[in-house]
Amino acid sequence: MNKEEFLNKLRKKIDILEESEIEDIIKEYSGFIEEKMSQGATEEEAIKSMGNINELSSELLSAYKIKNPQEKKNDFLNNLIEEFLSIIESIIEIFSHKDFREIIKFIIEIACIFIIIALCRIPFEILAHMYKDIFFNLSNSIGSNSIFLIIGGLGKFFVEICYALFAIILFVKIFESRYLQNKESNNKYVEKNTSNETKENGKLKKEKNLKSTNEKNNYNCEQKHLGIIDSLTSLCILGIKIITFFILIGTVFYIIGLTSAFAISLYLLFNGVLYFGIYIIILALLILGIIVFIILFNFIFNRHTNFLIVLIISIVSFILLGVGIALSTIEIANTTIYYDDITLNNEEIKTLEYEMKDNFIIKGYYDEFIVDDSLENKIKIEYNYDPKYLELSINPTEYQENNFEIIHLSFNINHLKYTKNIFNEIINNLKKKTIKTFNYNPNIKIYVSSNVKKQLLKNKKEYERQLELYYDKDELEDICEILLDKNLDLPDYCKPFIKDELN
Amino acid sequence: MKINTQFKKGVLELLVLLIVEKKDMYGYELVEAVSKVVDVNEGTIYPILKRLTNEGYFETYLEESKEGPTRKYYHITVSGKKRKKEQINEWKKFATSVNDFIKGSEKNE
Repeated sequence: MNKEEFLNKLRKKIDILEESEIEDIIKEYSGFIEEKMSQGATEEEAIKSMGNINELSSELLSAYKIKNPQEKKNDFLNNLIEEFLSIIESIIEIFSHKDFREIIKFIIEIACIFIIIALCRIPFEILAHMYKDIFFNLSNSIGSNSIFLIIGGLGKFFVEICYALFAIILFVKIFESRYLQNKESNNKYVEKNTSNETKENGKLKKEKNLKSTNEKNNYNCEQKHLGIIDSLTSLCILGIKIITFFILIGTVFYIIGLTSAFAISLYLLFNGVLYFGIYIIILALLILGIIVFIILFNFIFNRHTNFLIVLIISIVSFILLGVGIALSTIEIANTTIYYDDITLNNEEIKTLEYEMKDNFIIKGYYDEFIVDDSLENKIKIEYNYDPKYLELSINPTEYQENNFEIIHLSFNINHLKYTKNIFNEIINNLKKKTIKTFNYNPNIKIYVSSNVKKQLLKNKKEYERQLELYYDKDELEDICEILLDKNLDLPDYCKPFIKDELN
Repeated sequence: MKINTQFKKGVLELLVLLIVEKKDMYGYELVEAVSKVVDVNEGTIYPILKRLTNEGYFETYLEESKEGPTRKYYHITVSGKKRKKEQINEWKKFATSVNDFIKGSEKNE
């Protein structure tokens, strides 16, 4: 092991310390080794005399009250608390020692810090909303499934926690750099004085000391001027880094999404679904995402990026993207799409029966009336569905309104359990280069005798007429719009509004 | 092992305090001075210096050397002197009790 290797190893072991401290230590040790060598020792011997590098680093770290690099994470919270306490301490100090003007200045600065923290809230807010919207829409599209709402809520909670941590760390860091550093510079001042006191050690040294303190003073003045510019630029860089950090989070989601898409496409490929174009597109996008992630990551953590490799890989992935788009257009053009193709292979039927009453109305979604005079006064309702793809539970609601007894043919479908079947069906269709959309609604048929049918239709008309009297025009228009939105059968009273809309 | 290193650390700290009190020294000089007394890995002295500085017992200043590189000199503070006194007292107490014990056990033999 030569000197460079030794110092590099040491640097890695103590890399949790601040950069300036590391430099200081490395400088000192390289000085040790050089001195040792100038006294006649070989490089090997000089390094050997330093002892075990692990022992050395752990002792160095213990000088900073850091137990072990492995325990760093556990100590993180403690460190944070400690820093917070020292801040409170220095606040007390400021209030007890400084004059009114400085206190006012201090309060204004604290307010500024809070404004910065509040501004940093914006990206978090966007992220939290994104989460909420994604999962809310998911839960809406799949049906009332509370799992997604819970995940969404947890996501929001996670984002909030992140923000809280971020705010605390930011506050501590800014405060530390503004106030605790002042304390340190005071200490340095004391140091200078004491170094003057050591003049008893010899005349020569005294002169040297005086010289060096003068130089130090000049240096300090310059540093103060530079300090403002430095802190401004570093603040700007910090701001840019914070923004890139949020883009980084976005790319993480992007990569996760594309990786799962890629996994699905591999699965499909092995199942004989041959849409190479789309797979290539996904792969290219995934590679691009990873490249963006690496660049941003290296930027934030001050690491070196090899731009030549990045350039080559991105060119390759752009070529892939182009090829993929060309292929996929051909493949998609060759695919036939069927809309609302209800695949009711294994028909199952659930039936409901009612005894007809004079004031009955049947509401809700149904496909057709089938006249069957043998039923006489009975109403028979059939729900046809495919048990391979969904689970049906019928829950008709009955209620009174305007002297009418209304049966609302509501039902619940659950197809989450059958996603595997649905997925298989989709794969089978895709193998044949076809896409069929699923209609999960059951096919509802109502069997009645002709008299009962007449009565039901009559009741319905009467009910709608009454409704017309009951609601004013605007309210009716609203109702009709809702019905239109949901693609439900439009009653007669809606016709004037629909005409308006068409015009 | 652990007790041993802990013990060594205490002794080394005392030695370093005593040496720096006499004369301001830079790192290598100090290491040389300590290794004259105790056989020790030279790398382990620096952490002690660092710790004593962090805890406010030492102050440091830079000075140019004839050979070229600037050297960091260590200077003992008032609290360092206090610390040294405490350490000496502790050491004396410790040493006398151990010595007494040795004498006692020699008599019994």
